[in-house]
Amino acid sequence: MQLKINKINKKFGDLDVLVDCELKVMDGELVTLLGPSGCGKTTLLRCLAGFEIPDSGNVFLGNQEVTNVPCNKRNVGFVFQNYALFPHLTVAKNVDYGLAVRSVPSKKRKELVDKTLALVGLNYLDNRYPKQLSGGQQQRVALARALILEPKILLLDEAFNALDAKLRISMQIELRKLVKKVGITTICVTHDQIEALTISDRIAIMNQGRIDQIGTPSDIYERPNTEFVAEFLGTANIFIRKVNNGVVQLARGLELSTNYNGEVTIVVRPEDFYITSENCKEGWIGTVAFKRLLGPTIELEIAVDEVENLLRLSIPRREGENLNVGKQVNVSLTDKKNLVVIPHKVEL
Amino acid sequence: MSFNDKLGKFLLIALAGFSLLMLIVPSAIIVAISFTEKAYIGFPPSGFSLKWYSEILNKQQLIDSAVTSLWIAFVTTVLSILIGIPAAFSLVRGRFLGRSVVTAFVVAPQMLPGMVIGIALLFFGAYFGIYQSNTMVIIAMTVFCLPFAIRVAMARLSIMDSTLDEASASLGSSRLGTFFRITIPQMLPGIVAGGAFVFIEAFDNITVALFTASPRNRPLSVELYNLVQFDSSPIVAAISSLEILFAFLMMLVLARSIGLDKLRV
Repeated sequence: MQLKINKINKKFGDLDVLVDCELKVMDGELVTLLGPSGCGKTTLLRCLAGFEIPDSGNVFLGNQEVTNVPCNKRNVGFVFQNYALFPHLTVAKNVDYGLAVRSVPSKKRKELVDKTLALVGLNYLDNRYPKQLSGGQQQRVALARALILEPKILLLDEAFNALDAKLRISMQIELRKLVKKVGITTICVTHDQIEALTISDRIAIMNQGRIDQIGTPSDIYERPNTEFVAEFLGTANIFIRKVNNGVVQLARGLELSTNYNGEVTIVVRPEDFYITSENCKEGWIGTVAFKRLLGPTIELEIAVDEVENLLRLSIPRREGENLNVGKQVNVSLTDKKNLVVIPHKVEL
Repeated sequence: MSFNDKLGKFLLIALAGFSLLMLIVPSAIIVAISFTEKAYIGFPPSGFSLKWYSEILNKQQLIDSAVTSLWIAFVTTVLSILIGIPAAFSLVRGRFLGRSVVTAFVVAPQMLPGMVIGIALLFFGAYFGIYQSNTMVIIAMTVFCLPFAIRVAMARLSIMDSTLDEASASLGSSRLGTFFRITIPQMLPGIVAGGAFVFIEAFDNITVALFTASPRNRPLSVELYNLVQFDSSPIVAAISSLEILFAFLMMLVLARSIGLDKLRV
């Protein structure tokens, strides 16, 4: 079901937790709220669930306004960070809970529980208790418990945090496949950019109670709106430069034209640099300060004699094999079109 | 092992040994005396007989007072649970002005000697026309025992995950439904443990009962007290032994059903 949030504001005491948050999510879409801790993402999710009521603004599910509808009347699925499975009930009873509350006839309940447990691949564990399950299994039970009620939307609050790194990735892929199969509109909250990139149709980056940017993962990575977004998603080299008559000089022999005035921020992704020959007339000259192998790529830090001090590069592994720490290198840009230029905003 | 560790271990063992000695030896002496053949209390007992146990059955007054005590303990337990759970719930989960003051106040009777509560309620009751009776004992005993029930329930509640309530709500359950489906079952070990403490306390407490019980319908503890004053029959030892057995069985059942670790207050 479609979800629309209209100018939501929320204060805890004097603290502005949410400021004019707006978001529109299409039916069946998976959107992630991504941001550092304390950015308000969980509060926004709780406003969608009905655990919190916003001070102002509206929440629409489909065509219906639900801003003040209590959580037990919203039919919204919620998966908690710690899963919040009922410890005194078996897996089957946990999944059955919402149906039991609604007094669904027991025969139908049994069918639905079996079907939903099969959907998450856990039908063989129906008589276990939550504490007898692994973290991944507990998460699936939590999902099944929410999905069995065919909720209007599914909300996940840092649902992968409790899992170890390997399992986390595979559960994320599994979740995406599952919600796409079910076709349910889903909102996830996370501070983990890899998770956001793995599961999302679109990502909303939140910063200090505001949604800074909403877009597909590649939109946000390639065209960040703000310095914060650029630095939060992926690695970014940030250059702050003055504009002179519509032209900015990034480095020796590297000039860009721009429509902005005053100061601009230029964002360069690590993979947009390359190591060039010694007699190259443009770019930077520096020495390798740090090197590490990340599987298919090598990450380099190049110390340069400029304001920025360090360039962070990511190059294919084979090209960097003999670039050891201390070696002098020339660095340039693969394509000036990849650069992102945004007006520089002074953070208060 | 350092010197301090050794000293700590020695003190622990010494203290544990001393406590066991002081707890078990008197109880063991009572039990031993209850099997004596002689007609007076004396240690060591001579011979072996069960006549004092059968003698209990011949004393209608003792049986009546035991029934009275069981009834008082039962009603007190039920009342303490019924009042204690909502009280504990609001004290742990509620957010209201002066919560810590109310908590201190509710738990305070535990700090007052039973005698004080007994005397206070005696006069207070008389003011409202309630005189020494079972009702009076039950009221006083509930005041006295309620903190036990509240404390145990609060301890249990405070380790419970409140996101379970939100999970229940998000699955469509109302506040009340959540309370009965989630909160109460989760609290059950605390309720059972608290109830057991209250039952045992209400059953054998004398300081409160002494001032509030009707002279014609005395609880067992008061009856025993009178018996010891005027008579040194080993029948007292027999009754005490039965009480020890009763408390022991109760703890055994509790430990078996909900686990000893859950009995901590």
